[in-house]
This record gives sequence, structure tokens and C-alpha cells, in this order.
Amino acid sequence: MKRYLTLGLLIIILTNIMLFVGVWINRTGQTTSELALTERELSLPYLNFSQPENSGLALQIKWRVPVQESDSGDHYNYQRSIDISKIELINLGFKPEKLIQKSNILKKELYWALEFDGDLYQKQLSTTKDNYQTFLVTFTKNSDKKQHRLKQQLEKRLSEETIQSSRLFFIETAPSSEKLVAKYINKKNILIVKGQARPSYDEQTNTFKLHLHTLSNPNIMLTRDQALVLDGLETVDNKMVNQPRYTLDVKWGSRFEPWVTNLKKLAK
Amino acid sequence: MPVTAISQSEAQKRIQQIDAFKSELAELEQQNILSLTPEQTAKVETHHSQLTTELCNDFEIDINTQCKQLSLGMKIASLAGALAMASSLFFLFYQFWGYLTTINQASVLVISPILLFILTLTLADKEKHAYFSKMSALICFASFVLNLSMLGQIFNITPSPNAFVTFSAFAFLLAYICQTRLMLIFAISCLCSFIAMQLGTWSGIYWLSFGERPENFFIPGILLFVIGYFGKHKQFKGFSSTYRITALLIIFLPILVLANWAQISYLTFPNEMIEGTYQMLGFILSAALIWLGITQQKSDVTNTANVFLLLFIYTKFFDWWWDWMPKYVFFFLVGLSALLALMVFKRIRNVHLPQRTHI
Repeated sequence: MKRYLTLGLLIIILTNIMLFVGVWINRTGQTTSELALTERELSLPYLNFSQPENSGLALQIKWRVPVQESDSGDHYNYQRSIDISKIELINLGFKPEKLIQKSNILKKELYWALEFDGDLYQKQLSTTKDNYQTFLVTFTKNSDKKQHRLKQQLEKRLSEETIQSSRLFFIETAPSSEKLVAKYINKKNILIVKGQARPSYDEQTNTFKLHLHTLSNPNIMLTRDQALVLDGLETVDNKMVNQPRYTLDVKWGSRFEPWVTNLKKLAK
Repeated sequence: MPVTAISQSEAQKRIQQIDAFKSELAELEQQNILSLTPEQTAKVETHHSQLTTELCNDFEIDINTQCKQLSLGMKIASLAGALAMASSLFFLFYQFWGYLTTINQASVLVISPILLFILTLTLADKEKHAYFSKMSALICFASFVLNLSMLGQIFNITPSPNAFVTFSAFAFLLAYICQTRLMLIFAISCLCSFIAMQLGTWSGIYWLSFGERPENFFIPGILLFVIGYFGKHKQFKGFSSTYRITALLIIFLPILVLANWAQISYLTFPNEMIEGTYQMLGFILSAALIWLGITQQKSDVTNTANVFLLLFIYTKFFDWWWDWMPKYVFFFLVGLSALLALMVFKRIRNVHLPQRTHI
């Protein structure tokens, strides 16, 4: 029994030591990104039935993909996919010829660079403003009900884009982190994370797309003290446009794993 | 063989042998074929009674049918209890972890599997039949899974397949300590998943997509079958057959999937060719394993291969006939094929029967 006891304790203790060493390496090594985000980028979890059974609180990272050239007419990239060339796909380690042969290509874990409150967000904001302004040119008080409804929608969209929607935009992806770290090391508003992506092929247009599925670390867990700051806050009602209610300083370490260093509630 | 040198399963087998001997002797005496002298009868009875007492002192043995039925009930209760307690542990932590500081969360998560492991060892050492130690083992395993998964969430660690190798190692250890097949199945599942995930990662896919390439399971399946076939598990009742059955499931299920859905194969040939190849492989492999099971007297291999042979046949029937044939004809043909299978098995049985009688 002594032999079993030693073996069992070794498995438990060594595994935990390795886990804590990993956390220590992540947090004491090079900080790959450091951002001051708000509720716009880190939202409270959506209501779910298991919530009363779970006292922990993890915030969800909200990120977006810029509208692509192929998304003609759309002003929001809901599909979260990007146009990509055959060579770029090969560089990411995919095999485009298999896609053309209709083979089932599976997801890969890649490194993503996301830009916070930068040119991509400003471009999206100005596009939304332009759309609204263009609409106003043709809109009169005598326009029909449909036009009035459209005006309300565009106003809401502009308001959302200005104060509620995430300003974290996908820029590019790479199979390894080195290239992205070297490229963006001096840029303060760039976040490098791991995420999963899968390509697709459109036979009619002979083009490829890369679908950006999810971040490998889509949530950030809060400590008890941080969660207490947010005590009493409800998940926002998506029918309304809401101001962010809190701000957070978040760091991503050498293993691209995040942790919250500071959390403050914003005054109403 | 001295009583102290035998295992629980061997002790149970010995009791069954004594029972069989007694009933056969009674039958022979009734038919006036053999009768022992009163001295011989007394000597045998004394020996059996001493042996039974010794075995009962050292092991928890079912000495009659009622005991056997009660044991089965206890096994079911212990399994249900263990699963419920393990779930309770998960929900308990989820319910209250938000009220603890990070240090307290980590301490509770690390200490609980250690304490439960010590409890499991103590129970396994003291108990004869290991009902409570088996329950404790499952709860201990659940607490270890909780330990790693919750620490992963607390520190926002990127999920990786490596956790499965430690889950597997720990589950194997608990399985061999408490001689519990359920833990062995968990250990095997974690190990196979880990190997399949690792193979998938090396082939360039995201590790959680490992199930979408069923060929990843062939290597762990073959490895397990070899362990189950050649490994010595005399002290561990049912371990060899558990290895073999799970190995065959791990090999046959991917073949069955690929025989009907070639799109998810690594192979780049036309889909019809891939499906045809896997269908052939399924038929040949299951037939070969039925033969192996019969010749090597491994009923678990024969039965598992039998089930899959029938599955391969019926999925083929479904492919060929379901769409165009009236349903009553379809099911009639399925029934006929079952009769044919019965006749084939009967013939094989008859071939083996005289040899056994001769022996």
C-alpha cells in the first residue's frame, strides 16, 4: 500500500506543481498584451439556467471581425469570417486543394492578433455614421412607416457602435506566435491570443474564406474580490443601448493566458 | 494452494467448485454410480467446512445464491452511490467556490483529492469486498478531475489534452488498488482520448476535434487489445476481458462510422472506395475475431465481434434495401438472415462439441 500511496501522491502533487509553474511562467514572463477594457469588450455572462448553481463569475471576451469586401451590402460581419487567398491558407497550414475536392477540413488552433480601439474600429464607426447620414439625405417627415422604422434601426446601430459594441477587432492570424509578437511588440493596443479557425471554399466564386470560430480562452475568471465589485449588476438588456458599467485592466502573459489586475465600477 | 496465496476471484471460484462437487456427488450417489464410505464423507465434509471457513474469514465470498443476489444489489447500490456522490462533489464546489479567495479555492481543490486518495487506500486495505473503497475511488477520481479543470478555469489556462494523460494515470492506479472495472474503463477512455487527441494535433487539427477523425482511435485500440490479450491479470477479476471488450469497441466503432461516412477519413481516395474498404475491413475483422475468440476460448472477444458482424450486415442491408423495399419484406429478410446466422453458429458449435467431449 505504501507504493500505491507514493504513486498516487506523486501524480496529484506533480500535476498540480506543473500547473502552478505554468501559471507562474505566464504571469512573470513577458507580458504580451496589456489593455484597459470595459464592459464593451468583457461582458457579464448571458443568463443561463445553471447560473444559480454556480457562484463563480467569468467575463466573456467580445471580439469582432471587420466587414470584408465580399460582404457587399452588409455593415456588420456576423459570420466572423475573413476573405483569404490560397497562398495565405497554405501558410497557415491548411490544404486548399482538399477543400476544392470537398474534403472535410477541420479546425486548427492559430494565433490571432486583435486590435483594441484602433483604425478598424474607427473605420467601422465612420461607416455606420456615413450609412446614417446617407439615409437622412433621402428621409423626410413624410416618408412611410418602413422608412421611419429603418431610421430608428440606424440610430440604434450608431448609438450601439458609439457606446456599446466591442472595439476589439480581428486583424490577422498566424500559425505561430513569434511573427505576431515581433510585428506588434511596440503597439500598445494589440492583443495576441489563441483561437480556432476553419477554412471554406466557394465553388461559384472560386474564393476561400476563413471562419474564425472562438478564442481558445473565451472567458476571464474574476477573483472573489473582483466579483464583489460587480455584485448586483444584471446582464444588459440587448433591446436597449447601454453605457459600459465597469472598466478592467487585463494582462495577457507569455503563454497568452489572461488575468485581471484591476477592476473598477464606472459612475452612472 | 494455501488460502493466503489466492485472490478474491480464485476464492469465489473454489467455493463454486465445492458446491458443484457436492451436487454432482449427490447425483452420483442417487444413481448408485458412486458412494463414499461414511469416513470418506466425513473427511471431505470436514475439509470443505474448514476451507469454507478459512476463505470466508479472508475474503468476502458469496457462499450461496441469496448471498450472490445480495452482492449484486450491493454492487449496483455502490455504483449508483458513487456516481451520485461524485456529481454532488462537482455541484457542491460550483455552488460555493465564488465565495472563496483564490488561495482557498486552490487549497480546497488540491487537498481534497489527496485526502480522498488516502481514504480510498485505507478502505481498500481494510475492506474485504471493497464496496466502500470503490465508491471512495470514484469520488476521489472526480475530485482530481475537478481539481485540474477548476484550477484551469480559475487561472484562465488554455485547455490542452495533457490533462487526460494524468487523469488516465490516476484512474489506472485507483482501478488496480480497488480492483474496480469502472475505474479501468475511465482510465482506458482517458488514455485512448489522449492518444487520439495527440495524433490529431500532430496531424494539424485542433485537439478537441479528435473525434472527427475516427482513425485516430485505431492505434490505442490495437495497443489495448494486445494488453488485454497477452497481459497477466490473474489477480484482477475481469480486467483482461474489460481491456479486450473496450479495445474492440474502440476499433470497431470508428470502422462502423467510416464504413458509412467516408468524408471524415484521413484517406484521400473517392468516398465510395473508402466506405467499401472499411465495410470489407469490418466484415473480415469481425469474422476473424469470432474465430480467434472461439479457438482461444475468449467468449468476450467472440461476443463483441459477433455484435459488430451483425451491425455491419444490418447497416449494409439498410443501405441496399430500406429505400425501395416494402418494410414487411425488409424485416422478413432481416429475420431470415438472423435464422441463417443461427444455423451457421449451430454448425460451428457442433464442430467444436465432439472435440470437447473427447477431451
